[in-house]
Amino acid sequence: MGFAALNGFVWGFIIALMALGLNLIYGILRIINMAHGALYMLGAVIAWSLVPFIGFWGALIVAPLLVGTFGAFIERTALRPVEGQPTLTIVATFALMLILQQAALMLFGSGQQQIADPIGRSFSLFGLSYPAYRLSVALLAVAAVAGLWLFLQRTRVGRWVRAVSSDRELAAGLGIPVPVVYGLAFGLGSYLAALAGVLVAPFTSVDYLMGFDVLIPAFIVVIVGGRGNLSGSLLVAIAMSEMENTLPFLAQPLWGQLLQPTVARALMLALLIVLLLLRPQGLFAKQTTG
Amino acid sequence: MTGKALRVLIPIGGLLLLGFLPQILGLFGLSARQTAFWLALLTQLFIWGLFAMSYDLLLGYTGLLSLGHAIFFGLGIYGVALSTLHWGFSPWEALGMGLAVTIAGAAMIGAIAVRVPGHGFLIVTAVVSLILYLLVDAESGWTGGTNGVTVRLPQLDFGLFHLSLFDSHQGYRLTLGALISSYGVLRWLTQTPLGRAFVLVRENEPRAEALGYPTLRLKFIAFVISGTFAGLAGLLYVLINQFAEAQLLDWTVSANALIWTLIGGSGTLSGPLLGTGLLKLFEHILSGWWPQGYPLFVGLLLLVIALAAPRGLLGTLRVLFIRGIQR
Repeated sequence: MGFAALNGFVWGFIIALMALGLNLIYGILRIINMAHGALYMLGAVIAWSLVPFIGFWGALIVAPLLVGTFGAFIERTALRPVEGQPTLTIVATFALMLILQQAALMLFGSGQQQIADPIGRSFSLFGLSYPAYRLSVALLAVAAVAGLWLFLQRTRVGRWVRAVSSDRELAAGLGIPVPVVYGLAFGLGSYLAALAGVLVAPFTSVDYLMGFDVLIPAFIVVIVGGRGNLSGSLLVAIAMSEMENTLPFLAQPLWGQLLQPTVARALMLALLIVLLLLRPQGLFAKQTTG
Repeated sequence: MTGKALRVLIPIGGLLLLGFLPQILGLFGLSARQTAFWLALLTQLFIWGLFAMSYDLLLGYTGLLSLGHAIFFGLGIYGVALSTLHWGFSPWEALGMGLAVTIAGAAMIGAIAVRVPGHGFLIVTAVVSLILYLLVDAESGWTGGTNGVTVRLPQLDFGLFHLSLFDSHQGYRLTLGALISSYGVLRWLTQTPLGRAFVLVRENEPRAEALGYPTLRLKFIAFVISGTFAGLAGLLYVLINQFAEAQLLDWTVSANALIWTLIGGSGTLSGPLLGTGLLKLFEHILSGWWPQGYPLFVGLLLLVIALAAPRGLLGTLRVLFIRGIQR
C-alpha cells in the first residue's frame, strides 16, 4: 500500500510532464498531438542507445534535447501546412506516430530493453524500502516543472509564448514572431515528453510501443485539468495516478478482495468521464496561463 | 460518354461483377480451392468495408472524429458470442441481442460523448473503448479475454432456405448482400433532410445552431446510426469468423476505420470501401516479404493525404473528374 502510494506519486509526475507538453502544444498551436506518446518512446529509446557511451545522466541531458530539436523540425516541415485545421492536424500527428513507432522498431528492434538503475540504492522511509532513483525522478520532474514555470513567467520568450496562447492575432500585431513561438512550443513539448521517457526508462521496459500506455492518461489529464492550465494538469496528474495505484487497496474492504489493476484502471477512467460531464471545461478552467 | 451515364453504369457494372464473381473466377480457370480463398478474402473485406463506411457517416458527414468506433463493432460481436455461449441463445436471438446491445451502448455513450465540447469527443470515445477493452480482458474467464472464444454458429435459418456459414460462397453472398443494402440505406439517409443537416453541423456548427437546428441531437442521432451499422459489421464478423477476442476492441481497430476512411475519401461512403480494399490488399501483399513495412507505409500515405489531398483518393479523383468535364 505504501509502496503503491509512492509509485503513484512518481508516475503522477511522469504523466504530468507528458500532460504539460501536450497542454503547451494545445495552448499555442491548437494541435491535439497524437504523436506525443511516440516522442516519449523516442526519448527512452534514444537514451537506451546512448547509455553505453555517455552513461545515464549524459543521456538524460542529450536525448530530450535531440527529441526537442526534432519536434521543432517536424512542426516546421510536417505540421505547418495543416495548422488551423483540427481534423487534419490530428491525422497528421497520428501519421507521425505510426512513422516514428515503425522507424523505432526497424532501427532498435522489437525487444523489450531495460536501462540499469543509475543509482542502484534503496532508502527506507516510514519503514518501507524504496529505490532512491524513483524518488530522484520525482525531484527531477519537480525541477523540470519549476523550470518551465520560471521560463514562462520570468523570461521574455516565455512572455511571448503566453501572449500567443492568449491572443494570436494581437501577439502577431505587437511584433512577436509567432512562427518562432510555434516551433518553440512544439519543441519544448517534445522535450518534456522525451524527458519523461528517459526518466521512466530505468523502471519500465523500453520498447517501440511504450508510448501508448501514457498517451491516453496524459490526454485525460489535459482535459480534466483544464486546457491551457499548467498547474491544473500537474494536480490532476498526481491525483489520478495516486488513485489508480492505491484504489486496489482502498477498495479491498468493499470488494472483499484485491481489485485487479485493470479493473482499477477502468474505474478510474469511468470516474474521469463523469468528471468531464460535470465540469466540461475542466476542473480549474479559470486562469489561462501557458 | 457523359458523367451521368458513367454514374449509373459504373455501380451497375460493379454490382454485376461482384454478384457473379464466383462464376467469373471459375471462368478464368481458378480451381474451387483458389476461388474459395479469394471469396473468403473478399468476405473479410466486405465486413471491414462496412465498418469503415459506418465510420464515414460520423467523420465524413457529421465531422465527428472518434477513436472508439471499435466499441460498437465489439458490442455486436460480444453480444452474439456471449449470449450464444452462456445463455444458449439461438442464432437469431443472439443476433437480436447483439444488435440491441450495440444500439443501447451507442445511445448511452453518444449521450455522453456529444455533450463534451471540443476535442472531448475524441477523448471520451477513446477512453470508453479502453474501458471496455480492460473489462473484457479482466473478465477473461467469462469473455475469453485476449485468448478469444470460439462460437459455433453453423447456419442461419431463413425459413425458405438455410444459409450455411461454413461455406465460402454463402458467406460471400451474405456479406455482399449486407454491405450493398447498408450502402443503400446510408446513401439514402445522406440525401434526406436529416443527412443534409449532418453536413451542416460538419460545415458550420455555430451557424446550424443559429438557424435553429438541434445540433446536439443531430450529432447524437448520427452517432447512434453510425454505431448501429458498425455493430452490424460486428454481427457479420462473428457469423463468418465464429470467433471473438479482446483485440477487436483495441483502439487500433478504431484507428483503422479512420485510416481507411481518410485514405479512400471521407464524406463519400464508397471511398472508405475503396480505402479498405486497397489497404487490406496491400497489407496482404506486403505481409509476405516485409510485414513491418505496412504501418510505415500507412503512416507516410496518411501524412501525404493530410498535407496534399485531404479529400482522399475518391474525393480527389472526383474533383479531377469534374474539372475534366468542365474543361
